[in-house]
Amino acid sequence: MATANHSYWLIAALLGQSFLINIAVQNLQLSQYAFYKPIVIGANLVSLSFYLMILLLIKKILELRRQQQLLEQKETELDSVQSLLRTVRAQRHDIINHLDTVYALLSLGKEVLAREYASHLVQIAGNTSHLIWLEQPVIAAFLQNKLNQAIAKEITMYIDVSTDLKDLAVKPYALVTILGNLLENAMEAVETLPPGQRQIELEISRANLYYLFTVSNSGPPLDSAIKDVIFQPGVSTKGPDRGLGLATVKEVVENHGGTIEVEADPVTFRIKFPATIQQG
Amino acid sequence: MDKMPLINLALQSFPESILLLLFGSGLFKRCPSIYRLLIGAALSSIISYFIRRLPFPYGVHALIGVAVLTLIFWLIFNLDFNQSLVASLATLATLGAIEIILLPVESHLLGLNRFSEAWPDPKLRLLMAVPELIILSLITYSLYRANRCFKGDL
Repeated sequence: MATANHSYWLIAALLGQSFLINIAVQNLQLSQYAFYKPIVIGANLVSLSFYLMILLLIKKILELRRQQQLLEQKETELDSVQSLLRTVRAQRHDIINHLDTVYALLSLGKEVLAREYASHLVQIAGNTSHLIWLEQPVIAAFLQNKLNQAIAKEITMYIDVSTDLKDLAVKPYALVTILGNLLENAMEAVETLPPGQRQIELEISRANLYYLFTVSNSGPPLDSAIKDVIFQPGVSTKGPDRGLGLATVKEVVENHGGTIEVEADPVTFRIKFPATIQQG
Repeated sequence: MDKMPLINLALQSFPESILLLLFGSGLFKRCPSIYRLLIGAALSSIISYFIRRLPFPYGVHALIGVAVLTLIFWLIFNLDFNQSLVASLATLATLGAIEIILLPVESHLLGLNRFSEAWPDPKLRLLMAVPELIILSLITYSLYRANRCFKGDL
């Protein structure tokens, strides 16, 4: 923000100088020296060349500003990737402990427990390895964070990623708003169930011309009256002063050229975004 | 002191203000509503009309014009203050550059020693403004069509 303001002031100063020189030259054209044509022509040329030079300078400033913004965005993405890599490394580091635990459970003849433990491990490791392939590291890091929240709440969250989102034109912050609201709602919906039944599934896939995001949960089905108005502001199954999340989701989805549908049982939100083929 | 005739206010200053406001908002990818545009242009041209009647030396009205246009971009077009300042300076600097090219040529063609010699004659004054308005229209049109220049990157 501060840098943007500096750019404005710098550009305003440059334009202001060009403007003042322009006024001075026009004053010269009105003065007694207006009869000396070479002086007037010379002053005009100076003023014009100054104006053109300033346009070039402004263009350069804007290019630099664009590069700086790109750099800042890449730095944020790099942070997200590093965070994800740290998680993967931590999992690899822990794997021997988990294998030891599974081996010990099997040695003790507790096969059911061993199977449950191993299934839990497979889910966590599988989810993380799926996320690594996403071309949008911010989304990968965001989903990793949601996975950790789900584990803390004893919710089984399956994430199935079969595309890299390379041609998705939706900005990461918009996608975080959409998925964040849907996953948050899903977590709240299953929290009332016994731990073994708390399940959320997120599927990210691509058909030829569009991307599909599906979020479903094992919570109570939606009432048909609610289902019809669920995207309206203020409509919520969670009590008064709620119900802005899904309205926001619908707005963001539609602003990015997408569509959203809901199914009542199991509660499933299906979002489609058109794929934009990158040039070159 | 320059007393702008009313015909020039309506047929020269008002269209020029419309173009300047479109140009300035186009720099920031804004498309003002027709009402805001008309109100802004009316304010700008009427203020300009009265300022020109004050006994200021040539150029002071242009400096006041920067302040007026900045306020219009800021308060009526809802650009933020920094954008408004840049928009008003960019529009007036561009208008100035066009005038610097055209006025000496027009003065020469009309046999005038100074372009101010055309001021007492409303028709001549209007005639001299036509090429300027055409060039400004073309630049504004190309700005909106190609969405070039600053592209909202500030």
